[in-house]
Amino acid sequence: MWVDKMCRLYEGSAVRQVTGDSIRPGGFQLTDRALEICAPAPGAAILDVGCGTGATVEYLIEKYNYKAVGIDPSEVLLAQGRQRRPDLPISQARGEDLPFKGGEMDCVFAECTLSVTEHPDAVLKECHRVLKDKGHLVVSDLYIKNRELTAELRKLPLASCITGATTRNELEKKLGKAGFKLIFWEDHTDLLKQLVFKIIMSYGSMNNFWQQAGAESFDCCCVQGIIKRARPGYFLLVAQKQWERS
Amino acid sequence: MSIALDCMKCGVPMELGKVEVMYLNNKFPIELLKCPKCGMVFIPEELATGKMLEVEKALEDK
Repeated sequence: MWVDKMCRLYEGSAVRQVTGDSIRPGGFQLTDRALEICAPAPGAAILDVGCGTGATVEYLIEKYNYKAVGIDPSEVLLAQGRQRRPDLPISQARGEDLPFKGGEMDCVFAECTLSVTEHPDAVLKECHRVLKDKGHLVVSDLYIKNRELTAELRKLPLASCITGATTRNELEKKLGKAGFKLIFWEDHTDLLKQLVFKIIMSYGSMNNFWQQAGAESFDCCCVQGIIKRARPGYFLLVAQKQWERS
Repeated sequence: MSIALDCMKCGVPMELGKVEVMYLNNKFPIELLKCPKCGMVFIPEELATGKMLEVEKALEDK
């Protein structure tokens, strides 16, 4: 199930004013980087888990001619995507229950979305199921360097990548458990810093941003303190499907 | 930014342009008034003591 908390950062316009429709640090930069690593064959089937308004799906179709599809649980974001482009192959579904046959996908993308899911283990299991043998899973997301703050982040009254962020070590364990082999990891914390810079240039301060994002109901300073102590970073990883799950 | 300024060195009007601010080995692109002749950049006080201070507070490594 997707988290249902009072402030859904990814659905609001505050964050999109600085990220554009991709709603993640770096925009399509890491999508391009991942495709360099995976090198999917022309016309490959690619699934975007947590596609939001379908910006990446559109990008993969328009720029690369891939057979891209997307799913997202947010009807708000899907509707905005359909309004922008009615023929986008995006539909409402949860990462924990993908509406595709086993072995249907060459590649699965989860760009800044795995950490928003309430059951990332179940999402990884589903990604593994829909991938072809040796297919690639691409994840770009927030991670934290201070494991001790994990519990406090989970309790924050907002639905965003930071609340579900985990350590690199924990994530690697989850991937292994789901049947993936990590073949590529690259730190992109600079992109997260650039996003923070853009937010402050646009809103004046992080406090103003949180208020604009609809977070009046919680203490912004307290939330920022917890996030800072967690020492967040950003990464891109590529993992390969290794064995069939039973 | 609505203010009109001349470069103190060259005397030509400064123009809005993309510049890169360096902080903690990270480059941040931003639009600021820049002299088209010598490249001198004008950093408003509000930016230096307001937003840039906020950036410093947000990004400083603990």
